[in-house]
Amino acid sequence: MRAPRALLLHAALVAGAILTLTPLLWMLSASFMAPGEANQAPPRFLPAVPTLEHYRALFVRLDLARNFGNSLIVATLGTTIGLVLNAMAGYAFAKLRFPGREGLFRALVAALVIPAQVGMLPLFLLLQQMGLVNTLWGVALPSFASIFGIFLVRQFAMAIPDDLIDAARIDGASEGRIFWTLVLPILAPVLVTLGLFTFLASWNDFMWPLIILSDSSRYTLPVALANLVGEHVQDTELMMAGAVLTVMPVLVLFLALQRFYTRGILAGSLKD
Amino acid sequence: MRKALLLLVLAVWSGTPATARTLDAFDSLEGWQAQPASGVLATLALEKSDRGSAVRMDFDFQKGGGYAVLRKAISADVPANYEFTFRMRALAKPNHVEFKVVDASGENVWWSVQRDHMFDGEWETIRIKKRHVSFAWGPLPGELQRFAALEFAITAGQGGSGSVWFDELTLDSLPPPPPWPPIARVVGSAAGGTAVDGDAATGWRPKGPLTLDLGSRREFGGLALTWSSARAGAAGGVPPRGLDLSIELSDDGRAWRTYRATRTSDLGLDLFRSPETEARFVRVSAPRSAGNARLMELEFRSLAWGASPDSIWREHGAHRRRGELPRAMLGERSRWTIVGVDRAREESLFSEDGAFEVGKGEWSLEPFIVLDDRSVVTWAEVERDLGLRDGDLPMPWVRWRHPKFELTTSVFAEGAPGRSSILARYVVRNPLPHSQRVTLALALRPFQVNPPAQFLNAPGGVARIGRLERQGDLVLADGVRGVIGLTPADGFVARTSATGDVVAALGSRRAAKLPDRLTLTDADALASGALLYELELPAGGEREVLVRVPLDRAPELSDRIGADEFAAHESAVRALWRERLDRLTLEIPGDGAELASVVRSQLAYLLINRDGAAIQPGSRSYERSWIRDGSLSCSALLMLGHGEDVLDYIRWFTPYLYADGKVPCCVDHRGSDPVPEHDSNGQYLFLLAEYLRRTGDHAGVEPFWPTARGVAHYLDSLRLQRRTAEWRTPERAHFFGLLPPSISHEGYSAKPMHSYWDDLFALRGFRDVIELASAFRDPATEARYTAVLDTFSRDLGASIEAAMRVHAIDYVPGCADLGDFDATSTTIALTPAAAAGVIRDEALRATFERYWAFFERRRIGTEPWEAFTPYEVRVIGAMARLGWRERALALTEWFLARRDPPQWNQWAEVVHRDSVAQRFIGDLPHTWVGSDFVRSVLDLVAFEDDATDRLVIGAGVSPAWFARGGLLRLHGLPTRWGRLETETEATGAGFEVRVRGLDALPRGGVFVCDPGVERAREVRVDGRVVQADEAGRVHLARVPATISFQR
Repeated sequence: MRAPRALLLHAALVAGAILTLTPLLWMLSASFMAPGEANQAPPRFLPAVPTLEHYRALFVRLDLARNFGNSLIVATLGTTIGLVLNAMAGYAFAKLRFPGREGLFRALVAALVIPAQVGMLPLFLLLQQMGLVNTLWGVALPSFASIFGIFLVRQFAMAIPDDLIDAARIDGASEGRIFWTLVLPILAPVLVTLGLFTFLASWNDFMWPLIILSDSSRYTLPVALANLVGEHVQDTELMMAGAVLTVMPVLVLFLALQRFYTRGILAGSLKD
Repeated sequence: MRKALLLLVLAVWSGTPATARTLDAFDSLEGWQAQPASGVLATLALEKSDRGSAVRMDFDFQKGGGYAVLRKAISADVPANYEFTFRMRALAKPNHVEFKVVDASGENVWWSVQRDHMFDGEWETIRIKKRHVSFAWGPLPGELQRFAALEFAITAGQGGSGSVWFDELTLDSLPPPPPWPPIARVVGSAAGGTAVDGDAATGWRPKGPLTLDLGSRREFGGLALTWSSARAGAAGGVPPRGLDLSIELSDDGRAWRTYRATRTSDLGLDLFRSPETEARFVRVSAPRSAGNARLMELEFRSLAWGASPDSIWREHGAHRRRGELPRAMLGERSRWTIVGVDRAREESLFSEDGAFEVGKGEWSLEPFIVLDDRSVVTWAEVERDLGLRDGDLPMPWVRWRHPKFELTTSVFAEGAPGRSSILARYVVRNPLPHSQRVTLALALRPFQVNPPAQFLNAPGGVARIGRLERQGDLVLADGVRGVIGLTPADGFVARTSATGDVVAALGSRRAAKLPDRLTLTDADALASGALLYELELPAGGEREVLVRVPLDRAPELSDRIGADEFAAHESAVRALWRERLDRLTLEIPGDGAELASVVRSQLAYLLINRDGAAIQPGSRSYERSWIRDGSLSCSALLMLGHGEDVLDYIRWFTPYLYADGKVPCCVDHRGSDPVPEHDSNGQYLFLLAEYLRRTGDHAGVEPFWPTARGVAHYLDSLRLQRRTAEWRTPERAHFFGLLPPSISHEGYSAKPMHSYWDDLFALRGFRDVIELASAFRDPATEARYTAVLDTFSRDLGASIEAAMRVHAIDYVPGCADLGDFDATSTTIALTPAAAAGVIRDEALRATFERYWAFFERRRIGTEPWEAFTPYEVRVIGAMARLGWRERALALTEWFLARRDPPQWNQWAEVVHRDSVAQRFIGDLPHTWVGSDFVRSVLDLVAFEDDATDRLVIGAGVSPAWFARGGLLRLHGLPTRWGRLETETEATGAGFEVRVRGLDALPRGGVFVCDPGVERAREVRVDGRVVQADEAGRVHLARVPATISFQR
């Protein structure tokens, strides 16, 4: 009885996997099709004669490499600085005692329920005053510190034994040294997870770069691609090539770091 | 290829000139492209035809309007005289077929248009001669010499979907056209030579047929036969009334075809119109003796003469007594106003001479008085007064003043849309000290009130009456329209075009009164008839005649009402209009009262001009709904308390938007017009936000919020087209960040321009989408468009500065490309775009300083001018907003004096200085112009300054209005801060202004201007002394408040 049930279950899972993967695979396939081939009826799944023409068009004619570079800069900047600041803040909320710590943290956690969109207008006006509108710094700045990041690191850091930190203090280590040499390595799994989240969010973010950037030369990949949709709405294959370019780097990154990511997620939920 | 060869062989064999050239045999699809407009689908296919193959274009006008173009790049030189031919068949509803020829620049286009082409599914050969091809648009108008592309376009007439096939496109060289007029030679007997000798004093007595030979096949547009006494000095007998006449045509002198079989009229001049006629031989014969009558001259009329149905009447007019034809048919300037009910599709035009149309393009009912001595008095022999009921209601009247009588014609419309009628009252008064008998003749004549010069959309001039049917007091024309005499008629006379015109017969003793029941038909659809009312008028006494004309249908006997019911309808209509026009209380003392009266009349005209919820600027030429006119007219409607009408308009218009967020520039009975005019999206957003601002009806606008987001997105995508690197070069920097070129401004229709009009509306649109996003709690969209607005404002400001540098000007140009001066368009920078922070104040002021200098020159006569479009009335409001009260008032006075006619409180779209010659004037009344005037007048009294978030009261109030005391009262003006009530009156020592209402204070404050000429010695607010600012304005800290300006 168990074998048929398992078979059914597997069949359902396979079907689900196919349903999930098919659009992605077709996107990949269509990006190699000749112009107009993707719109044929009945639809084709594989290109008759694969071509790289659309990728060439994206990089040579439409200068998407620049937008790719912008996305990379913004995501890297946001992730790097974000990791440092979130790690420091999360650790401080977990292990350092200062007046108002609990109240401040509770306020931060409460602010998690506020939709990000609500903050966009004040944030824009703030950055406008700072002269950061239409700059890559302006795009990256909001990802430098996130409540979710602080929360995630804090929860992980809570698990670090106080004795360990006290021992370092007794040995004469400064707070900075304790953080950089002792705490950070312990936080590594959660930082990988947070880094992945931050990078993904930053790479895929559409709305904020759309708001803050006004020059097409500074557009990140999703914004540039959305612009192309307006101009090349008929060029399905070109659009698919653009979509592949957008999705592939993060997909690869995700798959490469999947192991750490899973560990980091789970670690936050366990107690010793 | 085989077919091309075959065509060539056939061409040589058939003797076609060797220069005939096959441009495309439609053997393949190569090079042909389908280019449909937004909202239209078009696909191409190659198909077999009866002569090989043909290209088929399937089209579908999904949004109603638009076009489907079939285009191919084909180059050729054009011979001096030429003919394009192609074969076409289609399975489709009647639509317009356009054949276009494009030069190498792609900007200059010549075309030939066949409107409402009827397709029967069979192949037809279309011949387009040189004279059919005219310059359509482009920067270089001129003769077509060489082309680089050809287009066939199916443009929506009735729209729908269908297929059209094209085949065998050729270009033939033709010999030069022969000289005009053709020289006719008499065939056989030379007796008839006197009829074609060009001498009107000699004639031919019809005895047997007269055959004329033109030497070769000639094209002509009609024939004119002048009989014995039609011309002054012509000798030899009387016109042969009722002589049977046959005119035939032939190409070879053997096979004859009938041209006309008719009777001569009693006018002495018989004119026959026949557009596009071609023949070599003409034969005229009269089967029976014509007695003494002689045919003095037979003349050929040109193709241009034949093209216009009005030609016959224009020519008749030259031979007839002035007044027998309406002045419009004499080529003279005529004036009219509109009569109808709110929301109805059908409206009547009422002329300054007392005639009124029974519907668009329809015949009219025209009054005449026949005196006791049988003399006929027409409009040409009387003095005239005009007016509106109560001075402002759309119930016009015309009074004829003649030494022997006064005739007052007053009309109004009653009923519901689709079931409305014109009720007309004719009052004839006897001013003489003795009684007299006169006859009032109400003539049904085949002329519109809309004159022939009104060529656009609904051509004016001649109308059709093919059959007149009298049943007692009911007279039907073609069974679909008619008049019912509510006062019993004493007689009826009628004529067909073959027997003359009823007016010529009115005074004749021969004019027999026809029986109660009668049917009369006219093959040329130019019949005329008149109901006769014999009136015994005691000394100083008067009699009235009442008639009713349904506007949407034929009258029925059940339409008959008595005089009491007539009066009840009149009272009810008056009360209805009073309620609609008086929702906003605007009372201005002294000379200013006229302004308030015009505001109310314009509101009435605006409501009458609309069809259902569709706001339209006119009832004839512009019977379409532009979002441009609609949005600004709605702003005026909102100020005048007609919010529900605006919401209806929004509900009606929104379904015509395209799926990608594009707002059509215009919607008419065919659907959306896809012509890109980039002001539309901003105007739609302004419309929604303006409604919300002035009504607070959140729930009313909310259903349109998702649409508004799409509209903003489309607008943003337009803006981004000029934000790429290629537009950053120094030569193009003044275009950077602007919307792409469009033809939203009529002046740019030859070539689309980067019009700041579009950009200013985009600025307004982006502002309004932010406001809407905030109202509907969509923070992401609010943030997004706050950023867009920030960038666009900077780009627009920088572009204007750059354009001013490029063109070396100090004013804000109309477009970036030309640096042209267009202050009327630039007014929108002040309102509604509120671009004060975007455009430098000096540049804005320089623009209106320049306008003022021009206006002054025009006013005192040093600036020559022929015509102006009274959209200029917008500048009145602009001047008030700039703080230039005297200028605003001077403009107001000048434009008021150019109402046309002043008593009817209206303007046409074009006002010509020459008040005699007939010219195209757009529509009359033109209510986009009217709505501009409404907004400007209200600006004089109170305006919202969006740029500073202020409410300014009294910036254009004239002290002269209070010369004889009185109270200026504005009650119920809807603003974003609530309804405003303000009153101003002169006190012994100055002025007192009272401000009430408002639910909230504007962030920028409420400012009250001093109505006085000189600066006030002391200003008090609620009794406390305050300081006015340098402009003499007082800032109110709270409302209500009473401000006194003491001198």
